[in-house]
Amino acid sequence: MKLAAVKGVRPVSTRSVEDTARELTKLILEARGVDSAHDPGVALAAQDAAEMAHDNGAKLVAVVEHPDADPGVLVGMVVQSDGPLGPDSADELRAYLEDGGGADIREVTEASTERGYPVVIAERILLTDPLRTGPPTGCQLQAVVIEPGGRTLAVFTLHSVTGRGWLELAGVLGALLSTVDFG
Amino acid sequence: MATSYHGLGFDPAPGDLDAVAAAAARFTAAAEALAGIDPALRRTGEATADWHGAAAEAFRARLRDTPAGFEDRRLGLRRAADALDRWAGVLAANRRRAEELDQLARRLRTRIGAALDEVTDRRNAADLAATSAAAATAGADLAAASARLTELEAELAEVLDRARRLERDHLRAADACADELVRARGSEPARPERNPVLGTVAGMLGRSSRTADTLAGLLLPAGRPAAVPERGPAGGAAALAGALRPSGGNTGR
Repeated sequence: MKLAAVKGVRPVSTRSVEDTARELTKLILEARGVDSAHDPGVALAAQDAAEMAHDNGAKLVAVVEHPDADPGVLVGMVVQSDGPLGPDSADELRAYLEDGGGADIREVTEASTERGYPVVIAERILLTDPLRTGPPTGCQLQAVVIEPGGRTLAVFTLHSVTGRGWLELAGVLGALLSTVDFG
Repeated sequence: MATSYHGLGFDPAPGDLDAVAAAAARFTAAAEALAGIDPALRRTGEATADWHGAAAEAFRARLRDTPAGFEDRRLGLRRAADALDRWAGVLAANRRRAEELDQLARRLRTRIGAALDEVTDRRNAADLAATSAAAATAGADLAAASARLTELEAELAEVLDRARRLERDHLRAADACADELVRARGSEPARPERNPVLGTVAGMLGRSSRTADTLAGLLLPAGRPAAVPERGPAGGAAALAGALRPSGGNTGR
């Protein structure tokens, strides 16, 4: 699967855990300020997060930026199906997410890219504890791009911790997903 | 009776309560009718035990040929009637909830209409302001009117979201009742075979979600907590769908 470079998407290297950890450390210091440079916890946290990303099979880790939004984080993974994905795969996935995707799913919808790849989109509002009344801890857009008749699905998760500029970030993600090429 | 949900724009709790109650009553009546057959046949056999001869043998042979299993059928009908009674309760409660949500949505739509008019009026006032002081005042009024409109639209989105959740729960309960009716006939509900890749994708969505959550937490500026608004931002899915095909081919479904 190929993705083009898109304005507003700043990828972190996923060549190795070490590369990911090193680049994440830089991003954390950018976000938290130079005072964090002497905090040994930053490198450790970056290492843990990098290991988590690699253990979970992340092929893409990126920061998503827009002038009118707080930065978001994007994670991309790839799933191989045992058999070819039929024409109803998107409908089935959508129904599956609507019925049992979890209480945090606010909306599930379907679309397609210009290349004709079906995309199932879920919008989530994350709560630490579904029973608590406090504010959500983040919002996510999850998109599954399906290779029709093939065996590959690409799973993307965009996460914002503030929701500021959410629609703008969604637009950047849309621009990126438009470049997905399974060929 | 069909109800129009003009406020919501859809019926989140479809179903005909009268028809369900009538079907439950028919099943109950049939079960009660069957309840008397087995005892009556037993009593008949006992009452003719001392009767002998060719006619008596012919009668007993006919009695033995009488179809059996009335008690099983009665229990099945009783089970079906109970399932329909429970469904009628759920249906009635869900329809009440749907009507409450529809009333809320109607009131909000009315208020949104008024708020839109107010925004238009305030914008006109701002456009026509003759002095800088008047323009400043009109600009502040326009901002306040726009904020009220945004707030009302968010409230409506919340009500529609609750209605969609009600619809989801309602359809699940309807499926459960249908399964119970199939079991009452002594069969098992047929389940469409689920594509095994769905479970894999669901697992990956979960892992992807947790990974993104962890990474985003690390990139929070120092001392700044996560602060998504209570209701969360809305419209991200539609914005993403729209950005996939700028020509406007995606409308979501």
